[in-house]
Amino acid sequence: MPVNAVGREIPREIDGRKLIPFGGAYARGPEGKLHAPKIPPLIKPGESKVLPSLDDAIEKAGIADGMTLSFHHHFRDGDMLVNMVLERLAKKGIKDLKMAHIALFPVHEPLVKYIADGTITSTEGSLNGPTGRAISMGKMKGLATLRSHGGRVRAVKAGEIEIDVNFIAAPTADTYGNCNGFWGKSPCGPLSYAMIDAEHADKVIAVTDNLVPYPALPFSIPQTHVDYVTTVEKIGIPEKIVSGTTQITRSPARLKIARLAIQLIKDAGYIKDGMSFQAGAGGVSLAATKFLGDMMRKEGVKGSFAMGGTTRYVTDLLKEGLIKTIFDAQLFDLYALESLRNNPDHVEVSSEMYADIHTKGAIVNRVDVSFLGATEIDIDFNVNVNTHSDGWLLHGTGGHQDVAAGSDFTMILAPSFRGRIPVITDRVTTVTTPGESIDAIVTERGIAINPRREDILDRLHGSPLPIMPIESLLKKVQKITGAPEKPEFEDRIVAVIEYRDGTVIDVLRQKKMR
Amino acid sequence: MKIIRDATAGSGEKSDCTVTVRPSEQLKIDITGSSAAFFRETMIDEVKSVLEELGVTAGIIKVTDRGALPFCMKARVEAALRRGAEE
Amino acid sequence: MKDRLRRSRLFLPGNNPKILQDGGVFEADSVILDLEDAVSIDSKDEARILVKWALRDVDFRNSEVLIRVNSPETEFFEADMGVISDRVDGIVLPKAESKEDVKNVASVLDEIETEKGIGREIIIIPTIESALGVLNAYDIARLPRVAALAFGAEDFTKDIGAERTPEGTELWYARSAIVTAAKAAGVQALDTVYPSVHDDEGLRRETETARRMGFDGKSAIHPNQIGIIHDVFTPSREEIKKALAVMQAIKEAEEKKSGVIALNGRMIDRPVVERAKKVIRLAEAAGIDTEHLPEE
Repeated sequence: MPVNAVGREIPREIDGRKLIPFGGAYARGPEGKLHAPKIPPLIKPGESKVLPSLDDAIEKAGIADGMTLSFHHHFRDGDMLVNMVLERLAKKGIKDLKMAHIALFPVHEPLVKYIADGTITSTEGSLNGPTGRAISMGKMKGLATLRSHGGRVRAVKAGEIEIDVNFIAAPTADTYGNCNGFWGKSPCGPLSYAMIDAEHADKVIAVTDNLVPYPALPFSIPQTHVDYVTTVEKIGIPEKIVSGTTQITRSPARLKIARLAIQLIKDAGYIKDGMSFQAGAGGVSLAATKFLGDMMRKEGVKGSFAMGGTTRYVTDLLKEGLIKTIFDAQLFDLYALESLRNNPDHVEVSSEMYADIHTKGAIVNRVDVSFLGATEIDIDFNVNVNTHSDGWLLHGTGGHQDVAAGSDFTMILAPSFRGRIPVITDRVTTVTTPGESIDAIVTERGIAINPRREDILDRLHGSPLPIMPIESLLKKVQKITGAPEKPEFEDRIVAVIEYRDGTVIDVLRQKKMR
Repeated sequence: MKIIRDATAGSGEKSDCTVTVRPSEQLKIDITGSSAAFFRETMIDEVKSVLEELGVTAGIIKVTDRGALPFCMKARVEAALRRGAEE
Repeated sequence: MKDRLRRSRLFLPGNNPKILQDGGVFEADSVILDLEDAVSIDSKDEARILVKWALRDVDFRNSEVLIRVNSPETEFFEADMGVISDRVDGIVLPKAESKEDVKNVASVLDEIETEKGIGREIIIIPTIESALGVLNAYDIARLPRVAALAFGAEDFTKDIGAERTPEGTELWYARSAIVTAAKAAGVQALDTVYPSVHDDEGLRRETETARRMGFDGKSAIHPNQIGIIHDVFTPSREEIKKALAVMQAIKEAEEKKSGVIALNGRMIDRPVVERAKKVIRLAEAAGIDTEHLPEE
């Protein structure tokens, strides 16, 4: 079996699909032409796009066995549309669907039975929670393909995902299909991840709980892409977008990680006018964002832009003038929504502009510093965010690969162990992001800098920070926790972890049950 | 030391564990909880090391873990044993 | 080491493994593994055992390791003293009221050191938290093993029947008396905890007051308080420059083999020298490179 650039064995082919082993972050250039959907049918003046019900829309779209469906994930754990649609399709006895959602969450647990009964036979999106677990157990007939946000855009543009029907949960839609997430009773903010699907799908159905007279502004998704508009009682629960991530961590160990990270940025020379950063949700990221603001204020520095995951803490920096712009592809709280609605310097961007490697330059390429998380990190700086240390598939890739590859200084902020389970390990269970893209690991017990970054190491010479080789950090952690037993797997491959360029960085096998 | 009554130590908080001991003719060690999938063998050895140190040869020892580090689990085993042992 | 820096003393509840395991991470000058107020009566035994194992296995890094035992008048005291090992640097003694209180603990320590073969002196930090304790503070501070006097405001307020206010005017006399007694005996004075964990500004103000009064450190009940306390005890650039000038004058006097140290034509006496040395120590503890002070 060929071994890829991060030392993982990748089969040449699975179920007739040829796999290209990962060769390095920028080893593979694009080829060919962009994929295009069918030319839309003729829509004459006076024709209505509004259908009385979701059932009518499903009927009209002609969903049949073997089709590919897509959904955005802006409501995250508050989404209601995916379950609504799949329930109806399962009732109709439709089989062998390919789910090209962006991401599923615990709320989508009902899909587990559709995976087991063959309604869904393969997936092309992130899996957070029960659906990932089901796939780890080998319950799905076909393969799960995991991609980064940018990688998914690339796959759609390259025709590797051909979407038959795209459902857009639209917080606001007008009668002619213009949609946005700004207004209505269930606002989610940007519709960034829906944009590329709407452009490339053969049929696009906007499902809204706030149908307004023509025209709706802004049109994040324009009428030119939308075939039908229909209404339901409620499309999603905005409060659940947050999933408990809007509070700064109170854990002293995690606050220490955030403080160390900001001091590291400073000592590495990144606190300067015009700086840009990627912010995230999650307790440690929020703390890091807040401390970064404190540092910028103290040093009298004015930044350029922040790329969201947008939260209150990022919007506060914009309000204060510490940054000039927020690029937003996903927001996490109502403060961020207010800012997006009212502040012209807070703008919605497509996931393509945010993260796609095969564009003429994505925003991630312009990011100076980024804070990312990890389930595991190994001595080659490879990061795993997809599986738990016990081998269960439980998380999507998100923007991890894209931001890590794009930003100049990528830091992983993570505790050195969770419970008794070490985060720093000799070899990650699954590689999500290659070590070559990771510049520093910041834990409460020490910082490791990737030895490739000689420039950073030079700049950090004389810094009082607890910087040590990754091997020392590993030893330190193992002394505390002991070395865990490795998880056991069956032979069958259940998921392919794609790199953002379409090559394969790792595969995941079915979990062996004791 | 001999276990003569049921006793418990520790808590269900994160980074802690609950240890219950019961008198028995046999020695039985039962480990469940968050670290069990990763450290079962190690944890059994760690429990045994405490039993040995205190001269306990029989009893049912049940550890319900929530991510306790070794020092904590050993302490909870010792505390449960002392609570369950003859005065 | 008796006169090490004790800017911050962090209390770690003795029955809380999550906090104990990270005890070395927060860079407190001292950690206090607490068997007293932080532990309920029902948990005294398991806390003691947990602390014993933590002393074996947890790396407290550069922090001085102190144990707060229950008062000698309680049934727990004897067993608490049993956890002392060669990993322990000192005992925090609650409710110290007379020199006898401290002498009794010292004689127990004599026995433990011999029995366990601990080859260095375990220090005692008596906590003054009653009216009688304040009045006897100097006698207590002069005893062997005593490295510092600590102040406990909560119990003191109750003892004198005062009302605890944010400004702490009711504590003014006790604080001054403790600093004065400690300094007269040549030991450190350590201020009470600041109980409002989320009030960073209040903590900063109270720590600044303590520092100006002559306290050498402040106790912390939460790791997030350590940074602020250290910040307050970090000398300013001006103070460091002045201290460096004094050190330079000493060096010059030594080179000239002159018994008199002079700076800018004025004679420098011993307290000024001591103060300068302490400023340099505090600056270095805060990670300031005093040999290469950056330009403003």
